[in-house]
Amino acid sequence: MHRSLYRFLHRFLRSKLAAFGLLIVATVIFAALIGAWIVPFDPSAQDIMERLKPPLWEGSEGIHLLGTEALGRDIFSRLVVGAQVSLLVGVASVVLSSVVGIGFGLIAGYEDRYIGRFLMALTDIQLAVPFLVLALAVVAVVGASLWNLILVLGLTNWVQYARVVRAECLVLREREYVQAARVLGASTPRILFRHLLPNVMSSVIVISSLLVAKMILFESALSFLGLGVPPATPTWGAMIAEGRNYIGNAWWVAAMPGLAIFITVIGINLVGDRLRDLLDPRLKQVEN
Amino acid sequence: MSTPVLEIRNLKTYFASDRGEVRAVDGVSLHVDAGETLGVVGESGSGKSVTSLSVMRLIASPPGRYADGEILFEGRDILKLDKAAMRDLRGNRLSMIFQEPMTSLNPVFTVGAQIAEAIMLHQHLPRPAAFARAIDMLRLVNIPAPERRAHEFPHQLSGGMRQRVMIAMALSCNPKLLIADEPTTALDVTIQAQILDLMRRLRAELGMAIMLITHDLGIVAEMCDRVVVMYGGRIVEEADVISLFDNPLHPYSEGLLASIPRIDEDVEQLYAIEGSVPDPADRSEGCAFAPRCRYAFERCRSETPVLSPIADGRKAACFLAGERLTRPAVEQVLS
Amino acid sequence: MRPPVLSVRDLVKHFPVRRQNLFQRGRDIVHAVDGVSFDIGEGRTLGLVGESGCGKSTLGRVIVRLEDATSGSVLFNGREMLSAKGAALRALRRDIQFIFQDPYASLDPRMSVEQILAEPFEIHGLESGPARTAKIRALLDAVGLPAAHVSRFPHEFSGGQRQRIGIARALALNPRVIICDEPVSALDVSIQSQVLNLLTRLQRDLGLSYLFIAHGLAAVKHISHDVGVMYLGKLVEMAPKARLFAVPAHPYTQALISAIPVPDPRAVRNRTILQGEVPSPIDPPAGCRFHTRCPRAAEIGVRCRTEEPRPVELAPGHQVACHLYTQPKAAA
Repeated sequence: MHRSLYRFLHRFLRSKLAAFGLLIVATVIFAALIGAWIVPFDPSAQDIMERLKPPLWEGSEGIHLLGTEALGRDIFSRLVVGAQVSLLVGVASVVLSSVVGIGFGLIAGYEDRYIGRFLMALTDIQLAVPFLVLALAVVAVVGASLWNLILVLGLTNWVQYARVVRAECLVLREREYVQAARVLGASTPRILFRHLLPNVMSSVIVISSLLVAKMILFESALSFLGLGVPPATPTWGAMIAEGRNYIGNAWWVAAMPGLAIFITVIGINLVGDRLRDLLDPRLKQVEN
Repeated sequence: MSTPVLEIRNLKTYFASDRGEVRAVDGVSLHVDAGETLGVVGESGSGKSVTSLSVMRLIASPPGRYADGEILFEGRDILKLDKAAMRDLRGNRLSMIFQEPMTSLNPVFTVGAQIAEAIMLHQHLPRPAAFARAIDMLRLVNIPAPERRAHEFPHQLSGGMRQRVMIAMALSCNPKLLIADEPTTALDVTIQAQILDLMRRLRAELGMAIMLITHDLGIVAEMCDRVVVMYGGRIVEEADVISLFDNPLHPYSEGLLASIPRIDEDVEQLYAIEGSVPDPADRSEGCAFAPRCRYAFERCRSETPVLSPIADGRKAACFLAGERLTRPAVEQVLS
Repeated sequence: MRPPVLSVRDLVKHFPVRRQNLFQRGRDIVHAVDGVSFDIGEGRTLGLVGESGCGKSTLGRVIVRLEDATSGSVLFNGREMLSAKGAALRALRRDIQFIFQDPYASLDPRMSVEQILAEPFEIHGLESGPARTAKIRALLDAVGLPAAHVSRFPHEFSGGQRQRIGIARALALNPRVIICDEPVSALDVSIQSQVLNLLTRLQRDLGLSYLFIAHGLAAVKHISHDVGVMYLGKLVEMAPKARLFAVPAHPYTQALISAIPVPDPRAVRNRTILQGEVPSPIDPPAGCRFHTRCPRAAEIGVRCRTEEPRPVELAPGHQVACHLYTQPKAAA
């Protein structure tokens, strides 16, 4: 297993762009995991004297790499800490939506009569509900918090999983190895989890990697609208929202978190595209 | 001897892959004379299909590339032609039919329009004339009610009908050479019999040469004048069809012939060539067939035998071919 | 005579299909298998041949319950297979196994050989630990694969080797009957004979019975004791192998045999080439289903178009359903 993983990584890195993407993603993960301990400034330490200073400003306690914001807090430090929230929201909501979506997709794909039809009707309804309106409604009822945000994002983005997994299962269940298992007497759960699930995982990984990026954007958008994480925690979206009042005289306050989102999303998408190239069986044929 | 329509000299077609370069075709030389049917026999990975696609210049590049060799069609090297000249040749004097007739036809055009398209392109006829000729072609390949069928779409036709349409299209510009890559493999036996019968008749009427790629030695026996047997990207034997079936010189040809279950004979146990077809990505030193060969000896594993003339019109790539030519007939009968 | 191991009676399988038309809605019925009966004795092989769409594959799939039969009966040693449920069905599954056509699609690409061969035991809660490992090695040995290959994955094997793994999986539960659905037609010529020889040896060693489904008459002739010929969901002729190939009675069987290319360039070919194509099983022709292509229908006359021929026994074990061999009904 180790060797095949190594070989996979080797093939992955053959694309320079993907290697670049992986570097970005690794940096963001690194920042999220241990950034809080190595940042140059306390991200919540205010200093009214040093407010709205431009990047590379030499302050009394050191250089503010990306400048400071309205309360004099160091933007770089806040960005690094904010990565934690962005990544947590991205990953947790993707896990939630994948569990829901894969479950629906597996069942609907293997048994497409009654339950399957019902589940697919549910996904169509889900597609028809405007995401922002739903998010607004949920936050209005249960209030804004990190976990509510994850819940909202997770429960509104499973449709893609359900559809892709179902489509693949419809094909896979006609595969001879699935039929061989049926002839051997395998139960339905066994077929779902031993034969179908492992064979849809490559698509799931591809969807997930691209969805993480989308979730980070959603989180920023919701935070920007004040529907996201409460203001005490620095998040990239909220930082843009705060910065927009000063866009005229201190552009970096809004631009830096914007740039962070932009670079992170590009990094994740580069990785996701490469994963798709390597894992999608339809594309695999071309490469061989 | 007439000049060959097609002459391939030392063709090498390689593909880039994760595991290094795959030598799909590794030094193939053959010729097809005017009006002759040449059978190209081989199993998966033997390079027979890549050879035919190379002649049509249909090898995607990358990953494929023509590493070496010449393909002379009517004396001109196809590999040196530019794209426009190649397009002009393809489907005109040089035609091909494929194994899977469904995917070779465009599903959104009627079959008549598709045949007419080829005729307009190459013979510069106006559309109505081209369409009329398309209907003639459909009639030639025994499609009932061709006027009506010409207005139908590929999915409305059965597999056998679609293969007839493909043949009609391939022959619409009177090709000098028709390359048929497993043309009946996807068809049922009774339909296969119809198509082979049709091909025989058209060959006699139109006088084109055919390069027939197949794995079925029964088809070879029925259709071909001469045969080349391919194994591991190379030609291992070349002979006229009678000699090949009477006395195969290469042990692989011999095994292939011996292992077909015969409808007209009964045996308890089939002769089987042990081992597996070699992986085209793994071409090591020595004869590619040596690991499966019952006659192999030391030299076979260290030195690659070259295809060389053994007798009149016969070539083989085997160190034992000379001895095998003169062995008594009794010895050929296998257990 | 000993009772047959597998006994199929009047098996019918109709598929409803949605009509392929934008403006019309409705359902058509595909008559895939339309009343087929046969017996297979212990240690015997029945070969089943026919062109695509004749229902031979569906027949095999119905027997192992991959499809639900419309009507009819399949008895394994006197036990009904088609209505079995739960534990009874699981028990029957151990006795009737299946070998698939495509060795590339019939093995889960994400499971190692060991996992693939362990699955039958896991499902039925048989053997465990070292006993299971020993069983898996024995299975690999039986199909001629080195035991050292257990941890490899399907893509590391050639087509012939994969088919051997598929055979090993089918053997795991000690079945009595194996349905072989075109087990060699996806393989290279030189590999086909290896697999056919393996199947023959396993039959001799284990006393297995085979239903061997194929479109290639040559392979069927080699491996079978009896051969049945199907056309559009019907069994048109069945006979001991030697007799079927020596004196084929049904015009379709005759045409089928003569259509096979003979690998002998000197052979004189006296071929009956059938005209036209197999009609659609959605709306099969009335009377004898073969009459639209039959070279003899003209001489028999109207009965072929109106009256379905009943099977007639020409010799022991040789049945044919053709009006050449039936007497017209006495005028009422």
